[in-house]
Amino acid sequence: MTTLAGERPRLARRSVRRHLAWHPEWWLYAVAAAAWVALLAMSLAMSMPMVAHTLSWTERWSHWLLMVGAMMLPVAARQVRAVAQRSLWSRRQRSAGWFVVGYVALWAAVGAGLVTIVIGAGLDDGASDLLVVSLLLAAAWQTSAPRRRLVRRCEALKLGAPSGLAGDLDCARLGVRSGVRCLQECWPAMIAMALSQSLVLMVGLTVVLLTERTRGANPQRRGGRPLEAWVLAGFAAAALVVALT
Amino acid sequence: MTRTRVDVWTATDAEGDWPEVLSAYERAIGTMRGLDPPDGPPTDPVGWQFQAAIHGREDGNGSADTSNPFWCNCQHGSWFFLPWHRMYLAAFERVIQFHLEDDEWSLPYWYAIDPDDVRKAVLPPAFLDRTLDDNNLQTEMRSQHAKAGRPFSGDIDPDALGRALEQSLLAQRYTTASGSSTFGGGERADLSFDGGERGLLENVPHGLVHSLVGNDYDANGHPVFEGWMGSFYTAGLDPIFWCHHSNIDRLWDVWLREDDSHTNPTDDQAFLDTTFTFPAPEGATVTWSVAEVLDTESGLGYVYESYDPPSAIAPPGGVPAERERVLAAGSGREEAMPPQVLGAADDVSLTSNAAVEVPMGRGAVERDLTAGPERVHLRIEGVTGTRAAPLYGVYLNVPAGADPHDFPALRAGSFATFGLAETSRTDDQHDAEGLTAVFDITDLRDRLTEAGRWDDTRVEVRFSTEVPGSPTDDAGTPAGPEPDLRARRVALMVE
Repeated sequence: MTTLAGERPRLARRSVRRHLAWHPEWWLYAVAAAAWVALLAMSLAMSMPMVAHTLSWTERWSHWLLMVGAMMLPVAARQVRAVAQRSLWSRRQRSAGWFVVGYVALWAAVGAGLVTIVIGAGLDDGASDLLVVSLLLAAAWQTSAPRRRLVRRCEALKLGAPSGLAGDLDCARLGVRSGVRCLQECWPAMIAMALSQSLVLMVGLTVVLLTERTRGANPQRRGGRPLEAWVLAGFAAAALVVALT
Repeated sequence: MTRTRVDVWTATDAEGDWPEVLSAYERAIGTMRGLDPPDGPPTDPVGWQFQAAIHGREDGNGSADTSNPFWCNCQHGSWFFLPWHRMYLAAFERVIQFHLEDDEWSLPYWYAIDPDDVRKAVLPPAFLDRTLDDNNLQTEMRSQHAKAGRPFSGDIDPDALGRALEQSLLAQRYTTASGSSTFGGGERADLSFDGGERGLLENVPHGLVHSLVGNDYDANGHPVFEGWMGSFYTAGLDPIFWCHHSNIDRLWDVWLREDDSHTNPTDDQAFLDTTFTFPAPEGATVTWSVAEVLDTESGLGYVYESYDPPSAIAPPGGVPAERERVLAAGSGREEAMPPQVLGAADDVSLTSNAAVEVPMGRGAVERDLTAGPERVHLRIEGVTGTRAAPLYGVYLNVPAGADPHDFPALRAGSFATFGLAETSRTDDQHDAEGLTAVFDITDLRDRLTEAGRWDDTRVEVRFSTEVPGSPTDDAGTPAGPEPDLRARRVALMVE
C-alpha cells in the first residue's frame, strides 16, 4: 500500500504521540540531559584559571541540584513511568510531576544539609582523604545485606488518592518515599558527590546506579552484586592516586 | 522417554482408592518425613520439610525465614509465578523419583475446579484415608470440608468458580507492564515473593483452592482455623499442594493450546534468561532458565494426560463470540495507545456491602466507552488486611439494595485472598504491597450497554463476601471480628 506524501507527517506525528504516550517519563530524560550539559559547562568554566574560585554555598547547592537532575532523575524514571501509567489519564503528567517534586525536594533538602556541613567543616577545598573513605564505604555498602533488602523492596508502588489536592500530595509523598529509599541505598556515594565536583566520578557513579536498575534477567543477582562494588573501590583507588600526586 | 502426569481422579476411577501413582507418592513422602529432624529447622534438602520450606517457611515472628538461601523463594504476583512453580515441581518430582528409585514416576494433578465435573472438587480418597496407619497423604491440617470428603468450596456457587476459571483461560495475554488483565501475572523488574499483579490463573483457581483446602471461615469470613494450604509458609507441607500446583502448571499449557493468540512472552530476554536454582538429590543442585521450561516435553520430559479446556469455552465446531472479539482486539496491539485509567476510587473496603462509586473521566481517544473494540479492565489494587474471607465476588452496577448474588450476570470477577497476611506485612521479603487482581470486563460492559445500564461517567462496584459455610452444627456463627481488608484503589482502565 502506498502512502500519500501529505500523510507522512501526520503518520509520523501519530507515531511520536503514541511513543510519548507509552513513555510518559520522557521529559525526565530531557531534564537530565540538560543538567548534564549544564554540569559540563560548569566543569569547563571552573577549569579556566581566570574564573576558578572557591564555590559559595549557593553555587555548591546549585551544583548539587544539577547533579541530582543528571544522576538521580534517570534512576527514578521507571517509577515515574509507573506513577503516570497508573494515574488517571487526564492527570498522568500532573501525578508524575508531583512525584518528581517530592523526590527532588528530598534530595534538595539533603543537599542543603551536606553543603552546609562541607562548607562549615572546611571540606570545600578538596578533602581527598574523606572522598576516598566515602567511596570505600560506598563499595562496602553496595553488597551489604541491609542494602540488598532495600533494593529487593524497591519496586513497591503504593498510589493513594486518584485526584484533587489529596492526589497531588499523595504523589509527592510517594516521591519523597522513593527518594528516601534511594538515599538509603546510595548515601555513601552521595557523600562522595558532595565532596567532589568531578564530572568523571559523576558519570561513573551514574553508570553504577543505573546498571543495577536496568531491566534484565536475574534481578535477584543484580541487586547488590560485587561488580558495582569493585567499580566503586576502583574509583576510591583512583581518588587516592590523584590525592597522592 | 516422555512421562505423563495423570489426572488423580482418573487414576482413582480406573484403579480404585489407591492407584499406584499415589501409593508410590505416599511411600516417598514417608521416606522424606523420616529425614526431617524431630524439632528445629530442616537440614536435609531431600526431606519433606526442607522441600516445603523452598516455597515458604515462617521464622517464628510471622515473617519469611530466609536463613537458608533455598527457603522462601516462591514467586507470586508476577510473571515468574508460573515458571518458578513449574521448576519447583520438576525439582520435587526428581526428589520423589530419587526416593522411589523410579525415574518414571510423575506427579499427578488435581483438577479441583473442573466446570465439567464438579465431583472433582472433593479430595481423592487416598488423601482422606484414615484406615491406613500413618497415611502420609492424609492430614488434619485441612479445612473441615476438605477433611470430610465434601467439595472443598462448600456453599460457594460452583458455577461462579467455573466461570472464574474460564475467565482465566480466556485471558488475552500472558503478561503486561501496563497494569491490564493478564493470564500469567504482571511484568516485574525484580523478583516477588508476593505482591505485584497476580495473573488471573494465580487468583482463581490457584489462590482460592489454597485458602479453601487449608482454612475454615465463620460467616463473616473470619478464618477460624488455618491449615497448611492456607499460607505461603506451610502450603508445601500438605501433599495435595503438589497435585494442586501440577494442575495449575497444566492449565498454563491448556491456555496456550486454547487459542493461537495465546503465547508466552518469548520475545522478552529478561523473562527467558532468568534462572532459578533448586536443591537436588545427593547434594546437587539443578538450575533452569525460564526459556528451558516453557516446553515441558522437550525441557522437562513430561506431558499431561489431558489439555482439554472447559467445554463452555471450547464448544465443538464453533468459535465462541468472546474469543472472536478477543482476537479482534488483540490484533495491532503494538500500534495502540497504552492503557488509560479513566476512573478510580481509593481506600475501598471490600467487606462493606455498600456500592463503591468510581467516577470516570475521558481518555486520550475521543470516543465513548460503548464503542468497540477496546478492552475495559477493572483493577483491584493493593488489597491489604489481617483477616479476610477466602473469596470476594466483584459486581458492577447492581441495583441499589439488591443482593449481588441475585445478579450473576453482573459479576466482573472473583477476588481470592490467598497470601493476604503475608503480603500485608513489611519485612525482608515484602513491602506491604498487598494483593492486586485485574479483570477484563469488556464483555460485561457490552451486556450492560445493551441493557441500557452502562453510564460512561460512573460505574458502581459491589463486593460480596463468599464463605464456604461450615459442615458442623455451628454453621454460620460469627466467631471473629469483621474482616478488615481494604483496597488502595479500585480503577477502571481502557485500552
